[in-house]
Amino acid sequence: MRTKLLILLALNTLIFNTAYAQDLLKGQVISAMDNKPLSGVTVWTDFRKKVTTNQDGIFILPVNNGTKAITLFASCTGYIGYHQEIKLPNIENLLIRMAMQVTDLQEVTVNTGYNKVAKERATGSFVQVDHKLLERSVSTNILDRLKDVVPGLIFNKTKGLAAGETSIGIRGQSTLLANSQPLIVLDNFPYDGDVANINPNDMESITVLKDAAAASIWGARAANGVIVLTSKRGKKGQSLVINTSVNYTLLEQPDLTKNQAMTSGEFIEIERLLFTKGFYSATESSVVKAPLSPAVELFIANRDGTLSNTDLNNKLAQLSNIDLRRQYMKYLGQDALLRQHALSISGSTGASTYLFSAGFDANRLSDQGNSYQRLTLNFNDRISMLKDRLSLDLKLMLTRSVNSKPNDGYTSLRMSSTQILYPYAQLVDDDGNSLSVVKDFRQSFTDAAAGNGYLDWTYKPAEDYQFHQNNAEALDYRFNTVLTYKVVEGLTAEASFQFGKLGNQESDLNSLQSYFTRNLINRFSQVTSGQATVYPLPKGAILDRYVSTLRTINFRGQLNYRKELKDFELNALAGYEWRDLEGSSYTNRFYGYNELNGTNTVVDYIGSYPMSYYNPSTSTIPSNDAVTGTIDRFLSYYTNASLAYKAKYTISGSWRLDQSNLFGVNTNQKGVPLWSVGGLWNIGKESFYNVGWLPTLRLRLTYGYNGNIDKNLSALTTARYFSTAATLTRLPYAVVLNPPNPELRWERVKVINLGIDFGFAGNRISGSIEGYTKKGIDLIADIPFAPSTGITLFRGNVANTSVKGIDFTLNTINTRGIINWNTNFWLSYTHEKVTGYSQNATTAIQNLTSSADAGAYPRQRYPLYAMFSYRYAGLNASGEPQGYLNGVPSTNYTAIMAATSLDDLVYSGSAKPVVFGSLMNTAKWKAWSLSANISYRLGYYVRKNSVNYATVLAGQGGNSDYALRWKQPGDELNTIVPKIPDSYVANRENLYLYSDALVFRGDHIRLQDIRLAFDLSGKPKYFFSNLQVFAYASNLGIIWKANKWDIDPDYQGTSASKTFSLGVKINL
Amino acid sequence: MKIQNIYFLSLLFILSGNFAGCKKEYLEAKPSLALTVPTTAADMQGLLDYLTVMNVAPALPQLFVDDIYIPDASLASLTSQDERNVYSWKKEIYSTSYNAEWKTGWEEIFYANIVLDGIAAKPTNEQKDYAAIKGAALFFRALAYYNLAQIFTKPYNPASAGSDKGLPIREVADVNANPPRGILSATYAFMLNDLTTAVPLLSEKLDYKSRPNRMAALALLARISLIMQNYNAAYAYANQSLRLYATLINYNTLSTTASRPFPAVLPKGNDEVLFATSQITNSFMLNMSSAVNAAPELYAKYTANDLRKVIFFNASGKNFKGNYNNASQLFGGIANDEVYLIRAETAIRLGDIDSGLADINTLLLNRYKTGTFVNYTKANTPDPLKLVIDERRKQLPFRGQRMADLRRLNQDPVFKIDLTRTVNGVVLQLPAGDERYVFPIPQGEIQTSGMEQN
Repeated sequence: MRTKLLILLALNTLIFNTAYAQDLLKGQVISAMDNKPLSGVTVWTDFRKKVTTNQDGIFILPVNNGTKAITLFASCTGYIGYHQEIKLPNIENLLIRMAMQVTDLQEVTVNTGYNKVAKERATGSFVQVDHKLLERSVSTNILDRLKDVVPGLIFNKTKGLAAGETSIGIRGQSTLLANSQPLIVLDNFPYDGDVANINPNDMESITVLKDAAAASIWGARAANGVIVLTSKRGKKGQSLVINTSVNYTLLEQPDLTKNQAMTSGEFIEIERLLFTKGFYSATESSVVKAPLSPAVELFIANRDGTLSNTDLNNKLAQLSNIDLRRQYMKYLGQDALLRQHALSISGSTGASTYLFSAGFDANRLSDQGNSYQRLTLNFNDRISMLKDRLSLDLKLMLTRSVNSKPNDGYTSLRMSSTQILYPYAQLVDDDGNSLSVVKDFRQSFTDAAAGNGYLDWTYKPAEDYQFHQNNAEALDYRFNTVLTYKVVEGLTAEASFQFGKLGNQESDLNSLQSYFTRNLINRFSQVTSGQATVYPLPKGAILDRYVSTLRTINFRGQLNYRKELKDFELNALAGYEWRDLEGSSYTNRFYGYNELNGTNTVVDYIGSYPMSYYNPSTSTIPSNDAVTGTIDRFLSYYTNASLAYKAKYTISGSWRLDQSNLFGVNTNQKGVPLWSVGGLWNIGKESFYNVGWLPTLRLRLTYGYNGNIDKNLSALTTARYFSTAATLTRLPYAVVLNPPNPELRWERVKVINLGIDFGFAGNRISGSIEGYTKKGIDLIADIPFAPSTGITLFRGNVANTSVKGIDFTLNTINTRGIINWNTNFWLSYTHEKVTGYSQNATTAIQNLTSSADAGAYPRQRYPLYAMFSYRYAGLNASGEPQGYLNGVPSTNYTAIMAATSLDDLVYSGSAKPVVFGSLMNTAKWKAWSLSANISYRLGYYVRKNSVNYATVLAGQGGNSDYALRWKQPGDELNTIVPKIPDSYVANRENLYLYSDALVFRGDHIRLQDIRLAFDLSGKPKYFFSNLQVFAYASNLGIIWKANKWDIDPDYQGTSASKTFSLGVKINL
Repeated sequence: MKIQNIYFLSLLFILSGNFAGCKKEYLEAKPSLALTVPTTAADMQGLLDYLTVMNVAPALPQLFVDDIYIPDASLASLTSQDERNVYSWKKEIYSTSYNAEWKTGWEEIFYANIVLDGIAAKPTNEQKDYAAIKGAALFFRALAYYNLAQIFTKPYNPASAGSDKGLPIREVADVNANPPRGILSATYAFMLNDLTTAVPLLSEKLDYKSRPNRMAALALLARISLIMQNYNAAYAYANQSLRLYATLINYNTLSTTASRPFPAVLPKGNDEVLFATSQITNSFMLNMSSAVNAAPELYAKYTANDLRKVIFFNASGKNFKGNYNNASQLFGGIANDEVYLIRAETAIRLGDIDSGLADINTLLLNRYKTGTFVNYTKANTPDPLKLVIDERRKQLPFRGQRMADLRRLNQDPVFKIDLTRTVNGVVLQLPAGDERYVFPIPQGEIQTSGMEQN
């Protein structure tokens, strides 16, 4: 019977399809915002027949006759995709309202990494950055795209950060020594690899979780906030979509002349002064042939009568005209060129929804010879089975990047490890030949070396990098699978599993032509009667290999429950997860490496060899072998629930227990339970509320705890092994890291967040204001201990911090119609201070030297990053800097230092911005859109760099303020820069360099970026559905700054390089 | 519930349940390969092999004693104010609240105690496997107490040691304990006890010179007994040590022109050395070949055929180069020359002049140009004790022993010595037994633990 029916049906379809005319489904698409018809909207049904609306928004779709119901889809750029099941036969004039896809965050769901929460019912503090905002800027690194667009999130310009390293602060810092960086989550699991391996083009959205309710689901690692990255995936019901884009960026090369260094002429004059004082006489007779700069060699020749005064002055004048920085920029630097390609193919066929993407980045970096390449491949597929009850998500991500860095950059140019390269070093002569500079030894010694059996001992920076290869290859892959099963209506069970492996292979090859290799071979050459005869180091390249892998396995089992009962809606989830990270690395060095056949030579690491340049000094051949291994394990249980009533009230709660393999800690102390509660009151939906001009008004309040962990600590005495290479015995040894600390606990942060969301009538003005407090409890810090205990510092849970702040956002639609002009404004205020830390620095100078400039220094009642200084009384009549001693200006520096207590220091304020934010304006006219982002940072203090005579009088140059120094009586009225002293006095220098006269307000407003785009709708006219051409420029400069010295506070001593990008995006 | 639901849920259950079963071990994994809770013999040996803490000796006293001379013009080459203060015999020495001699000594005791605590926690039947390590830890602890006591407590005087202030006795590595200073005799008794316990546990073989051995422990016992003026014991210990190993370097085999004439001690070199330590790096050490001179009065003591004159000093006689370490850090360890001198001195003090002179002769035969040395005999030596004490100074300059010798000999009316020194035109006096022979305890210690100042 059944079979017969099927055959009949099939026949039926065949016959009717051909023989009968189809029904026509007619409708109109209008914009939900202003009810105006929308043209160019693609409309289709299950049967994949596509039509486009005309200028009145009208479409006509053929529908097979007799069909009872179809699903109708509509899509249009800038609008949220529409799909609706429609009962047939057709209703007359079907009206489709399409809602605009707005950057307004209120109508979206936010992804916590565990579940999606409707923003409207979310009690916590979330910020969502959608793909439009992400794609607005151009960068290789995904995190760069959060710059100046997320309230409460700041990219700190902390000193001591390596190039490319970012220090992100979300709502202040609530830890002292433990990790202060937010947790990065990629597709539901913490991402432990290098963020640079993530292709920004693959990301659909980023959610930033800021308060306890939002982040507590991430438990013990959430104290610094959480950044959830969600990658793009195919959309159900969508036909094949191909997106492709390409962009080029020019990144200006850093302007080295902004490094505030004294000029070549000044440098030479100081060398002359030091020479007359006999400063170089010890070096002249140095047994180790210590290097002397060319100017000093000229002075020596002049003194010895081999160079006339006229010749000396001529030669010095020539040297004064050379500027190493410009030489470098010309011959070793360049503008960086960044190229980015992306392709994605997505769609849905039957039960499968898929996306495949590929990305390729090729960057030429600003030091010649250096480059970066990245290839990313991404595939994900969701397969629905068992009538949609079971779904399987598969995801594969693969990244391969190669960072090529043969050129060590400007800062690597040095005369020796302790001496800077003289600023009048010439790298290339007028004929384009690269020149040698003085390096490690005196010119006369290295010049003669080649004749004495040594390898050529000269150093030519302009070409040396060509003999150096440094390639770091990263291979990062992740396999992620999620199985979701609908057990009964409302209850789903899911199991997620992720396996990832990040491999890094760095090879550093210094060929025989490189200075590094020649120098090492020469140093170890055994000299007989002045001739180098025996070479303990083989004459060949030196290869260092560094290999590391990080293997991660994550598993999560979770039950989700959703139940609607009359006016109540319950959402709950509970789960269990474990994470296992295993890292290992090793380094090896190969001497006498032959690239062609991969051979190397064994050397004697044990024997002690006299150094060729000075026989009594002996050394062993440097070894570079080491092995490390790490294991991080986490075990967590969590639950999270929310209950909403009539969409007016929501209460939420979460609880999570984290355990980790904290070293040496008893199992019961390895974990920390963290929880949160929250409530939301949608006042706007109350019947009694009838404020017409403010229809949207919501009140949110949350309270709870987040955690943080310093896994280097242990409750037991722990020691760390060091490998054998460094010691005379070549025995491995162990160093005690910390004494037993049975009181060791996890750090916790108590967070209270109060938020108000508002929207004025017509939705023209909307926004939110959030106030919060974060209290860091049991923070890890150091306190001084009696030396007789065997330790001088004890690290334990001894400090607390407090952060109070406000995040305010305001979005306005200023004009509608021909020109659509929107403004997004946000402002964040953070007030940080250290509380409950009684142990201050022992001396004022210790506080100064270790605080704002070098890093954080906790001091009770003050921000962790605070600006302190000595009170400066200006210069006296003889150009000496004066401080205050017993309230009177004084030059008794030792007494001033001794008498100035911590409390006597001048406190200016925070060294990190207290108020920051941005103002973004976007205007659209026809196909054109223009946007500009202006960022600002206010309420903080920066210390100006200035001249330190310690380096000046050591012949090591100094700050360009040297030119402003006191030179003659009367100058003290116009300058604060002390005169050059006869000899360097540490306290005098410290008084000036750490004086309040050099502290300035860092407040400034910056034009962050501008973007101009042209969008062209294609089909049916062209082969594409949409094409966008855009131009983007960033880091465009300062609009206003508070300081009078013309210093960019965020780039003191460096330059903010502008970027200019051009790109095309095509959607097929 | 449908059958497949049950399947699915049980799968989830198995996956998670399976895992929870091994949860305990799961969280026991070491976060880093390099991390260890020191429990194995290798871990403990690793701690004891940390040269920077375990194999160091005090250096500041070198500036205090009469073997050194720094011309006024060179005083500035001492980069630390503390060094200049010591050289100028200032009462207040420290410009900061810390001092490296103090800190490092206690750190060494802490390390030794961690090892001893670890061994004590082992079951009794396993303890014997740790004998050698226990011996080494006890040796290090005693050595550190010895070093601290030579600077920060009063000179050992048998008459007053029962009432003079000692050092806090730390038998375990508990950083929260704050024992009182106690009496000096207890401090010395503690050292002797550690060492006598260590002697049978330690090996008789010389291996790595940075690791303690039985000879070194006996020699240190001899050294401490000499300071305690217990000559019988000092003789016996020195004798036992030399019976096991008595090698001396014949200086005729060394280069007289080399700027570092002695072979490197580490890992297993310099046959005369029993145990190697380096004096804590200070700026004066790095200027020994230039600004920092040996006292002219010391140099004048060496005769023409004495190879020490050309091996210990450069041609000008100003600069000391006889460092047993062959490194820029001065040697501060234990070598056989000292053990011979202890046996010689104690033999003479105990009345056995012949064997005392025999030891001196053995030593000097290896110090003089071949064929030039004439043996000392009772007949040609009117004052053998003066000879041995003089030879002691000539053999051990800059080895860290002069401070202890001055503190000991100043108690003897015959050998006591009042020192004078001219610094920047000012003549300074340091009478024998002056209280400045005891360095103050650094302020950082007083502030944090409330320890009694000297």
